[in-house]
Amino acid sequence: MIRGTDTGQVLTIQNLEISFGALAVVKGVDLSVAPGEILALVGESGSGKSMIGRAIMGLLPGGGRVSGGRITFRNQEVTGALPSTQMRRLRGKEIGLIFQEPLSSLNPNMRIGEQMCEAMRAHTDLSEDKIRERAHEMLRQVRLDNPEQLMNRYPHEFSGGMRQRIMIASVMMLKPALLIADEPTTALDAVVQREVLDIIAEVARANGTAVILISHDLAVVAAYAAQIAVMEKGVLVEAGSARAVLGCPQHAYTQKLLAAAQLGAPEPVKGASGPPLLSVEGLQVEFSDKQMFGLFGKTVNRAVKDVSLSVQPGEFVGLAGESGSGKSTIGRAIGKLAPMKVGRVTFDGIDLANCSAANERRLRQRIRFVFQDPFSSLNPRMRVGRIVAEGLRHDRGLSAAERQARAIDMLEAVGLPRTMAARFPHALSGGQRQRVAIARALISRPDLIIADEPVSALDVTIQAQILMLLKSLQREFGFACLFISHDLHIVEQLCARLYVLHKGRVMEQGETAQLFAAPRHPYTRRLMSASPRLEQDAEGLQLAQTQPVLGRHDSDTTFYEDSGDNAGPYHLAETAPGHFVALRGTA
Amino acid sequence: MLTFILKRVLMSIPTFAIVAVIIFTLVRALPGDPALMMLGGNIDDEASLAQMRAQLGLDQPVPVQFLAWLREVFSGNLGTSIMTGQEVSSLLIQRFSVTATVVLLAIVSALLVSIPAGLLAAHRHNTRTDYAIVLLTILKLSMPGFWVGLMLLVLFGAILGWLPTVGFVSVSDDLGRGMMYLILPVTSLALSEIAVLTRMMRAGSLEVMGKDYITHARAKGLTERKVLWRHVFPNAFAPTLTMVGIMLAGLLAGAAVTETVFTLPGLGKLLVDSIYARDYPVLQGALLFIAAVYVLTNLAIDLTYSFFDPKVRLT
Repeated sequence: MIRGTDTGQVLTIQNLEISFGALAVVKGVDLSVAPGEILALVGESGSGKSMIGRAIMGLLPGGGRVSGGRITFRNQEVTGALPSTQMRRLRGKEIGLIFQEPLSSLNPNMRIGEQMCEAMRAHTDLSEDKIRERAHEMLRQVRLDNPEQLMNRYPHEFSGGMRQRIMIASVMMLKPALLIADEPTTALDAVVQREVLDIIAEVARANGTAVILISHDLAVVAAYAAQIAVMEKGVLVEAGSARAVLGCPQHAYTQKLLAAAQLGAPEPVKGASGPPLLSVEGLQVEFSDKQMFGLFGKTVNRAVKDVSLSVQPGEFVGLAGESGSGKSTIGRAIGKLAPMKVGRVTFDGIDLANCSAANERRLRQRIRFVFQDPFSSLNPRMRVGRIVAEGLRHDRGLSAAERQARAIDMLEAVGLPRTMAARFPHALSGGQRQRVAIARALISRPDLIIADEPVSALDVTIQAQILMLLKSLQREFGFACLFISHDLHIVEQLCARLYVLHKGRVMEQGETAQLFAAPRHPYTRRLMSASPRLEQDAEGLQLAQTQPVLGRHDSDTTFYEDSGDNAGPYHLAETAPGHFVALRGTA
Repeated sequence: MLTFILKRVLMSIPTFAIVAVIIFTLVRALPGDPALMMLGGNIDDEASLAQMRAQLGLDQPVPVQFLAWLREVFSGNLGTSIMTGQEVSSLLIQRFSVTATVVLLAIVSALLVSIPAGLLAAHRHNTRTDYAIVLLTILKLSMPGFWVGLMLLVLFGAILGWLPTVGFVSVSDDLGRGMMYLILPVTSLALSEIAVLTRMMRAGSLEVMGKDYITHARAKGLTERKVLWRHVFPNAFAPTLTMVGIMLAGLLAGAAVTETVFTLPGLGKLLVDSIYARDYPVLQGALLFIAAVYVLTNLAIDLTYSFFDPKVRLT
């Protein structure tokens, strides 16, 4: 991999070492990127991959420094040796940077247009009109309409996907030779993720920009990269062409990452027959929050329009859809955490809307939640043991010591050492925290777990572990689970039945295996192609589904799709036993 | 915006009603008798005392007095001072203009110092500059304000003799001399504010500097100065602004200690004097006026918020 500085590469990294104090977080890394080429830099969180991106920009976080090796950008060494004015001339103009969190990487206090234009103003002498014209052009390139209007808005008025596109437009305005995209889509859901990556690839190709795509998810970036480099604990363990790395992975760690991306054969958790444990009929939920979407002013947000579903005892049921489909709201409404407008929710024969306060408290022991973000769902000021034991506080028959003992047992059941009980959440990794959240939910031996994107915030390798854990815990404790996720392939792993949601309505429902074998609704197909997985074939690993998600839209009018203000009448039709699809018109 | 202001003004009506009742009863609850004070404080002549009470309307039952006062207040008449016979409203305006000049000058100069100092400390986090700024603010915070005022008086007034120590000349009468009298009180007030506001600004900036959009601003190749003023400052200023609001209302309502130390004829001084004199009309008027100052200052601060945070909608 080591090449000289005269090979026409945009970027060459030789024997790079990055340290925080005496601790080296990146050791002996060699990389190079050719003009216009896309390099995927893959590894788990903490592998040092982001630090490489920051080091190239000369923007290592406080305390970090390049302690060895050299970084050469276009035959010019940039390893911390450049004076700050020279480095600044490269930043933004020659090297662009896109971050993971589109929600926090735009200044909330500045209009979009202002943020887009200031870099160009700093680097060129173009007139204000020319700069704005270029901004419009870029916004159109990332498929955003009405650039003039959009540029006068503030970031909070846009969704995550739109913000990330604005970010891409803003960074690509100056046509940098190199774009560093640090987990650019990890915070987005599957459909939007694909769109954003498509746009990055497209815009980079149009401008001849080389891209370093940093990600923890090999499957997501594999489709775009010509070269793949895999990092583990600060060391580059494997690098080569995408075909070689995917087809014939040499290093054990790469194989492990690939295995995680494959997930393995689904093992759906089927439930008992008989009366359902949970049944939801005609659920509608509305929020009339004025500030929720500044774009629309004071409108009523009909989050859930008409949803009926059921869960059998011990069954895993999937609720899939992109953000805004209402899937989380349904979960919350079942737990009485969101206001139900119309509809009937019955749990074990008890109507949730008209049950006594005492009954409701008892039900809360039987329905428990696991949330997406283990970093904010655990109280940072409580020790892990107390967090888990808290679920038992209504159990008056138990002494504090007994509760604590049960909590420790439960920690062991979720695969954490007993000593964890004395720790605070901040000392735990994301995967460990999610295990704590699961232990907290299970301690009252609930009949139903509502798991709202329980693995979406985790690295792929950890995702697989948590899914395995849920499966084995289900065998042990026998709970049912309403599994909410935007990633159909994760849902496929565990769920016996599946509901696909779009804009507050069920688009398709049925047995997971059946639904995957023969998806009927165009939205379901779109959602499937949006979460790519690797599949084993004769030539080795290949990307399973690669058709682009942009510019699709089947013109089929028989299926119901809510694409505008007035989607017309809707009904579910049974196309095969137990398999329902949303159609236009009335039944 | 206009509906917001209107709504807030309407919402303040119940506030004023409650404040009026509390003021009136508290003032009456003060031990002492204004009529007695008027007559020299030491008199056995029951007849003239009763006559004086009747003249002041103090012989009526308290609720009747309250209604009478309220009627007068609504017609814009706050009464006349028992002590000096001056119109209460003109007295208030005259005294408030002194306080307002001192306080506003102090806040503005404090902001001019604390904003750059706070940003600088955060920018140079954990360096000597940062430590020095933090140390200075802690030093100032641990010294009582009146003591610093006295020391300033001793140093610049008594020892160096550069500035006057006692008295006051209105700025509107003689700008140059007026300013000379203002320098010490303004400096003394501003020093306390600088200490607090610099710390707020530093803490706010440190938090904002950890955000992705700041790294991104640097990644755009902006100069550090632009990053600090255009990206860090507007986002870091909100907590400082809240603090300014609290300070401003509190100080406008009467920087009594400062005014006493520097013998300024301000609102705080007036309040203290009228309490000693049991000057009911002045006391009531002043307290009502202070309530109005609070309401208006808070309104002004809320309006300013919308300027610093586009997410704040004034509805």
